[in-house]
Amino acid sequence: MEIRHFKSVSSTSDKAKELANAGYIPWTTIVAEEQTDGHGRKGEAWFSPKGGLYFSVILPKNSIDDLQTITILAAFKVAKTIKESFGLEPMIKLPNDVLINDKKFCGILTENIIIGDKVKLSVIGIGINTNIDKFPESLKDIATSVKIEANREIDNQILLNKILEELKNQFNTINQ
Amino acid sequence: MDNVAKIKNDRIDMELNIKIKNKEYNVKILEEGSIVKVIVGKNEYVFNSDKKEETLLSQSTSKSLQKEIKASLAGTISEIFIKDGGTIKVGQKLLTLSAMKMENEIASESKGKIKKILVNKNDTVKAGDILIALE
Repeated sequence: MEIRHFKSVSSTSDKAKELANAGYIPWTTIVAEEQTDGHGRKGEAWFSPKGGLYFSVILPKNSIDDLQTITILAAFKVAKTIKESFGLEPMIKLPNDVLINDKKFCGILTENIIIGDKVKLSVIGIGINTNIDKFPESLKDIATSVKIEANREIDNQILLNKILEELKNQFNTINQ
Repeated sequence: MDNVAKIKNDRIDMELNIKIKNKEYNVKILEEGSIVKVIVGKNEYVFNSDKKEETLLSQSTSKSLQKEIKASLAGTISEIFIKDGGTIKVGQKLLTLSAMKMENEIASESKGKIKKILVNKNDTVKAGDILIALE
Protein backbone atom coordinates (compact mmCIF):
# COMPACT_ATOMS: atom_id res chain seq x y z
CA MET A 1 0.00 0.00 0.00
CA GLU A 2 1.63 3.21 -1.14
CA ILE A 3 1.24 6.24 1.10
CA ARG A 4 2.00 9.57 -0.53
CA HIS A 5 2.66 12.50 1.76
CA PHE A 6 2.02 16.11 0.84
CA LYS A 7 2.68 19.27 2.84
CA SER A 8 -0.39 21.05 1.57
CA VAL A 9 -3.14 20.18 -0.90
CA SER A 10 -6.51 21.74 -1.71
CA SER A 11 -8.20 18.46 -0.72
CA THR A 12 -6.73 14.98 -0.28
CA SER A 13 -9.74 13.49 -2.11
CA ASP A 14 -9.25 15.79 -5.11
CA LYS A 15 -5.59 14.78 -5.15
CA ALA A 16 -6.56 11.10 -4.88
CA LYS A 17 -8.94 11.43 -7.85
CA GLU A 18 -6.23 13.15 -9.85
CA LEU A 19 -3.73 10.38 -9.05
CA ALA A 20 -6.27 7.63 -9.75
CA ASN A 21 -6.89 9.16 -13.17
CA ALA A 22 -3.13 9.18 -13.70
CA GLY A 23 -3.04 5.43 -13.08
CA TYR A 24 -2.43 5.09 -9.36
CA ILE A 25 -3.84 1.82 -8.06
CA PRO A 26 -6.46 1.18 -5.38
CA TRP A 27 -5.30 1.57 -1.80
CA THR A 28 -2.92 4.33 -2.72
CA THR A 29 -3.32 6.75 0.18
CA ILE A 30 -2.83 10.50 0.04
CA VAL A 31 -1.96 12.25 3.29
CA ALA A 32 -1.55 15.98 3.72
CA GLU A 33 -0.38 18.08 6.63
CA GLU A 34 -3.02 20.64 5.77
CA GLN A 35 -5.86 21.13 3.28
CA THR A 36 -6.63 24.53 1.88
CA ASP A 37 -10.06 23.48 0.59
CA GLY A 38 -11.06 20.45 2.67
CA HIS A 39 -14.73 19.67 2.27
CA GLY A 40 -17.53 17.48 3.54
CA ARG A 41 -20.89 16.68 2.02
CA LYS A 42 -22.55 19.24 -0.22
CA GLY A 43 -19.33 21.20 -0.35
CA GLU A 44 -19.32 22.15 3.31
CA ALA A 45 -15.87 23.24 4.43
CA TRP A 46 -13.77 21.04 6.72
CA PHE A 47 -11.39 23.05 8.92
CA SER A 48 -8.02 21.48 8.07
CA PRO A 49 -5.06 23.28 9.68
CA LYS A 50 -1.68 21.71 10.40
CA GLY A 51 -1.79 19.20 13.24
CA GLY A 52 -4.76 17.21 11.99
CA LEU A 53 -4.74 13.94 10.10
CA TYR A 54 -6.20 14.30 6.61
CA PHE A 55 -6.12 11.42 4.20
CA SER A 56 -7.92 9.86 1.26
CA VAL A 57 -7.77 6.34 -0.08
CA ILE A 58 -8.39 5.25 -3.66
CA LEU A 59 -10.88 2.39 -3.28
CA PRO A 60 -11.08 -0.71 -5.44
CA LYS A 61 -14.11 -0.83 -7.75
CA ASN A 62 -17.31 -1.63 -5.96
CA SER A 63 -21.06 -1.42 -6.18
CA ILE A 64 -22.75 1.71 -4.89
CA ASP A 65 -24.45 -0.30 -2.11
CA ASP A 66 -21.17 -1.69 -0.87
CA LEU A 67 -19.57 1.74 -1.04
CA GLN A 68 -22.22 3.01 1.33
CA THR A 69 -21.55 0.11 3.67
CA ILE A 70 -17.82 0.82 3.49
CA THR A 71 -18.43 4.47 4.40
CA ILE A 72 -20.53 3.53 7.42
CA LEU A 73 -18.07 0.89 8.56
CA ALA A 74 -15.18 3.33 8.17
CA ALA A 75 -16.81 5.47 10.86
CA PHE A 76 -16.93 2.40 13.12
CA LYS A 77 -13.30 1.64 12.43
CA VAL A 78 -12.19 5.17 13.28
CA ALA A 79 -14.28 5.10 16.45
CA LYS A 80 -12.88 1.70 17.41
CA THR A 81 -9.27 2.78 16.81
CA ILE A 82 -9.71 5.98 18.82
CA LYS A 83 -11.40 4.07 21.63
CA GLU A 84 -8.69 1.41 21.79
CA SER A 85 -5.76 3.78 21.37
CA PHE A 86 -6.78 6.58 23.69
CA GLY A 87 -9.46 5.16 25.95
CA LEU A 88 -12.00 7.69 24.71
CA GLU A 89 -15.69 6.99 24.09
CA PRO A 90 -16.51 8.10 20.56
CA MET A 91 -20.05 8.27 19.26
CA ILE A 92 -20.99 7.86 15.62
CA LYS A 93 -23.42 10.21 13.96
CA LEU A 94 -24.29 8.16 10.92
CA PRO A 95 -22.94 7.99 8.42
CA ASN A 96 -20.28 10.66 8.16
CA ASP A 97 -19.26 11.96 11.53
CA VAL A 98 -17.59 10.72 14.68
CA LEU A 99 -18.00 12.67 17.90
CA ILE A 100 -16.59 12.76 21.41
CA ASN A 101 -18.66 14.44 24.12
CA ASP A 102 -21.13 15.58 21.45
CA LYS A 103 -18.43 17.42 19.51
CA LYS A 104 -17.25 16.39 16.08
CA PHE A 105 -13.64 15.30 15.66
CA CYS A 106 -13.82 13.21 12.50
CA GLY A 107 -15.61 13.55 9.17
CA ILE A 108 -15.80 10.91 6.46
CA LEU A 109 -16.86 11.41 2.86
CA THR A 110 -16.91 8.95 0.00
CA GLU A 111 -16.81 10.51 -3.44
CA ASN A 112 -17.65 8.48 -6.54
CA ILE A 113 -17.32 9.22 -10.19
CA ILE A 114 -20.18 7.69 -12.15
CA ILE A 115 -20.22 7.37 -15.90
CA GLY A 116 -23.41 5.96 -17.41
CA ASP A 117 -24.49 3.18 -15.12
CA LYS A 118 -21.13 2.33 -13.59
CA VAL A 119 -19.06 3.54 -10.69
CA LYS A 120 -15.73 4.35 -12.33
CA LEU A 121 -13.81 5.62 -9.35
CA SER A 122 -14.27 5.91 -5.61
CA VAL A 123 -12.27 7.75 -3.04
CA ILE A 124 -12.89 7.81 0.69
CA GLY A 125 -11.68 10.89 2.52
CA ILE A 126 -11.20 10.98 6.28
CA GLY A 127 -10.38 14.07 8.29
CA ILE A 128 -9.50 13.68 11.95
CA ASN A 129 -8.83 16.54 14.31
CA THR A 130 -5.87 15.05 16.12
CA ASN A 131 -3.37 17.68 17.30
CA ILE A 132 -5.54 20.74 17.07
CA ASP A 133 -5.42 22.93 20.16
CA LYS A 134 -7.86 25.62 19.20
CA PHE A 135 -10.85 26.02 16.93
CA PRO A 136 -12.28 29.19 15.43
CA GLU A 137 -15.18 30.84 17.20
CA SER A 138 -17.72 29.37 14.76
CA LEU A 139 -16.57 25.80 15.50
CA LYS A 140 -15.48 25.84 19.11
CA ASP A 141 -18.82 24.62 20.47
CA ILE A 142 -19.28 21.84 17.91
CA ALA A 143 -15.75 20.60 17.23
CA THR A 144 -13.06 18.98 19.33
CA SER A 145 -9.76 17.20 18.81
CA VAL A 146 -8.34 13.92 20.05
CA LYS A 147 -5.54 15.89 21.74
CA ILE A 148 -8.00 18.06 23.65
CA GLU A 149 -10.00 15.00 24.75
CA ALA A 150 -7.08 12.65 25.50
CA ASN A 151 -4.88 15.44 26.84
CA ARG A 152 -1.82 14.29 24.95
CA GLU A 153 -0.04 14.62 21.64
CA ILE A 154 -1.17 12.13 18.98
CA ASP A 155 1.19 10.36 16.58
CA ASN A 156 -0.59 10.87 13.25
CA GLN A 157 1.49 8.27 11.44
CA ILE A 158 0.73 5.48 13.91
CA LEU A 159 -2.96 6.39 13.94
CA LEU A 160 -3.06 6.45 10.13
CA ASN A 161 -1.45 3.01 9.88
CA LYS A 162 -3.89 1.54 12.38
CA ILE A 163 -6.93 2.96 10.60
CA LEU A 164 -5.68 1.87 7.16
CA GLU A 165 -5.14 -1.63 8.41
CA GLU A 166 -8.66 -1.72 9.86
CA LEU A 167 -10.14 -0.36 6.63
CA LYS A 168 -8.33 -2.87 4.50
CA ASN A 169 -9.38 -5.79 6.69
CA GLN A 170 -12.94 -4.52 6.58
CA PHE A 171 -12.85 -4.16 2.86
CA ASN A 172 -11.47 -7.66 2.36
CA THR A 173 -14.24 -9.02 4.55
CA ILE A 174 -16.91 -7.32 2.48
CA ASN A 175 -15.35 -8.47 -0.77
CA GLN A 176 -14.43 -12.04 0.03
CA MET B 1 -27.50 -6.89 0.98
CA ASP B 2 -30.32 -9.37 0.47
CA ASN B 3 -28.54 -12.56 1.29
CA VAL B 4 -29.06 -13.75 4.79
CA ALA B 5 -26.69 -16.31 6.18
CA LYS B 6 -26.15 -17.85 9.52
CA ILE B 7 -23.08 -16.99 11.49
CA LYS B 8 -21.39 -19.67 13.50
CA ASN B 9 -19.32 -18.96 16.59
CA ASP B 10 -20.68 -15.46 16.97
CA ARG B 11 -18.15 -13.02 18.20
CA ILE B 12 -18.62 -9.33 18.77
CA ASP B 13 -16.05 -7.38 16.86
CA MET B 14 -17.39 -4.00 17.66
CA GLU B 15 -19.92 -2.60 20.00
CA LEU B 16 -20.65 1.06 19.98
CA ASN B 17 -23.32 3.56 20.76
CA ILE B 18 -24.53 5.61 17.88
CA LYS B 19 -26.53 8.77 18.00
CA ILE B 20 -29.05 9.29 15.22
CA LYS B 21 -31.17 12.40 15.44
CA ASN B 22 -30.49 12.68 19.16
CA LYS B 23 -31.57 9.13 19.94
CA GLU B 24 -28.97 6.67 21.10
CA TYR B 25 -28.70 3.15 19.72
CA ASN B 26 -26.53 0.23 20.76
CA VAL B 27 -24.93 -1.31 17.70
CA LYS B 28 -22.95 -4.51 17.45
CA ILE B 29 -21.00 -5.55 14.40
CA LEU B 30 -19.97 -9.13 13.81
CA GLU B 31 -17.72 -10.38 11.06
CA GLU B 32 -17.56 -13.91 9.83
CA GLY B 33 -15.97 -14.82 6.54
CA SER B 34 -17.60 -12.77 3.84
CA ILE B 35 -20.47 -11.70 6.05
CA VAL B 36 -20.83 -8.57 8.08
CA LYS B 37 -23.72 -8.57 10.49
CA VAL B 38 -24.94 -5.36 12.06
CA ILE B 39 -27.27 -5.61 15.03
CA VAL B 40 -29.16 -2.52 16.06
CA GLY B 41 -31.35 -3.21 19.08
CA LYS B 42 -33.56 -6.10 18.02
CA ASN B 43 -32.96 -5.59 14.31
CA GLU B 44 -30.36 -7.49 12.42
CA TYR B 45 -28.85 -6.56 9.07
CA VAL B 46 -26.66 -8.93 7.15
CA PHE B 47 -24.33 -7.79 4.41
CA ASN B 48 -22.90 -10.38 2.12
CA SER B 49 -21.10 -9.73 -1.07
CA ASP B 50 -20.98 -12.37 -3.73
CA LYS B 51 -21.76 -9.73 -6.28
CA LYS B 52 -19.96 -8.75 -9.41
CA GLU B 53 -17.39 -6.00 -9.06
CA GLU B 54 -19.60 -3.41 -10.57
CA THR B 55 -23.28 -3.51 -9.85
CA LEU B 56 -25.41 -2.06 -12.57
CA LEU B 57 -27.18 1.03 -11.50
CA SER B 58 -30.28 1.95 -13.48
CA GLN B 59 -29.92 1.10 -17.15
CA SER B 60 -28.73 3.93 -19.31
CA THR B 61 -29.91 4.60 -22.82
CA SER B 62 -28.09 3.39 -25.89
CA LYS B 63 -24.67 5.00 -26.02
CA SER B 64 -24.54 5.66 -29.74
CA LEU B 65 -27.80 7.55 -29.81
CA GLN B 66 -27.63 9.20 -26.46
CA LYS B 67 -30.06 12.09 -26.37
CA GLU B 68 -30.33 12.48 -22.67
CA ILE B 69 -28.42 11.88 -19.49
CA LYS B 70 -30.38 10.23 -16.73
CA ALA B 71 -29.86 9.96 -12.99
CA SER B 72 -28.36 6.56 -12.24
CA LEU B 73 -29.42 6.81 -8.63
CA ALA B 74 -31.80 8.86 -6.51
CA GLY B 75 -30.44 11.89 -4.70
CA THR B 76 -30.09 15.65 -4.56
CA ILE B 77 -28.30 17.75 -7.13
CA SER B 78 -25.55 19.48 -5.19
CA GLU B 79 -23.56 21.12 -7.97
CA ILE B 80 -23.91 21.78 -11.71
CA PHE B 81 -20.76 22.35 -13.74
CA ILE B 82 -22.22 22.87 -17.22
CA LYS B 83 -24.43 25.35 -19.07
CA ASP B 84 -27.23 25.15 -21.65
CA GLY B 85 -25.80 25.13 -25.15
CA GLY B 86 -22.36 24.01 -24.04
CA THR B 87 -20.48 21.13 -25.59
CA ILE B 88 -19.34 18.19 -23.50
CA LYS B 89 -16.49 15.73 -23.85
CA VAL B 90 -16.34 12.08 -22.85
CA GLY B 91 -15.59 11.81 -19.15
CA GLN B 92 -16.35 15.48 -18.44
CA LYS B 93 -17.72 16.30 -15.00
CA LEU B 94 -21.36 17.37 -15.46
CA LEU B 95 -22.89 17.60 -12.02
CA THR B 96 -22.69 16.26 -8.51
CA LEU B 97 -25.47 14.16 -7.07
CA SER B 98 -25.55 13.82 -3.33
CA ALA B 99 -26.94 10.35 -2.72
CA MET B 100 -26.73 7.64 -0.10
CA LYS B 101 -24.66 10.09 1.98
CA MET B 102 -21.97 10.13 -0.68
CA GLU B 103 -21.02 12.70 -3.27
CA ASN B 104 -21.38 11.29 -6.77
CA GLU B 105 -19.82 13.09 -9.67
CA ILE B 106 -21.79 12.34 -12.81
CA ALA B 107 -19.45 12.36 -15.78
CA SER B 108 -20.35 12.25 -19.45
CA GLU B 109 -20.45 8.95 -21.25
CA SER B 110 -20.24 10.49 -24.70
CA LYS B 111 -19.49 13.81 -26.37
CA GLY B 112 -22.29 16.10 -27.44
CA LYS B 113 -24.05 19.43 -27.15
CA ILE B 114 -26.32 20.32 -24.28
CA LYS B 115 -29.83 21.26 -25.36
CA LYS B 116 -31.16 21.90 -21.88
CA ILE B 117 -30.28 21.19 -18.30
CA LEU B 118 -33.51 19.98 -16.73
CA VAL B 119 -32.54 20.20 -13.08
CA ASN B 120 -31.47 22.91 -10.68
CA LYS B 121 -29.18 22.86 -7.71
CA ASN B 122 -30.87 21.28 -4.64
CA ASP B 123 -33.48 19.46 -6.77
CA THR B 124 -34.33 15.95 -5.64
CA VAL B 125 -34.23 13.37 -8.40
CA LYS B 126 -35.22 9.72 -8.74
CA ALA B 127 -33.19 7.05 -10.49
CA GLY B 128 -34.06 7.24 -14.17
CA ASP B 129 -35.05 10.93 -14.16
CA ILE B 130 -33.70 12.87 -17.12
CA LEU B 131 -31.11 15.39 -15.95
CA ILE B 132 -29.77 16.78 -19.19
CA ALA B 133 -31.20 16.77 -22.72
CA LEU B 134 -28.65 16.55 -25.53
CA GLU B 135 -29.03 17.75 -29.10
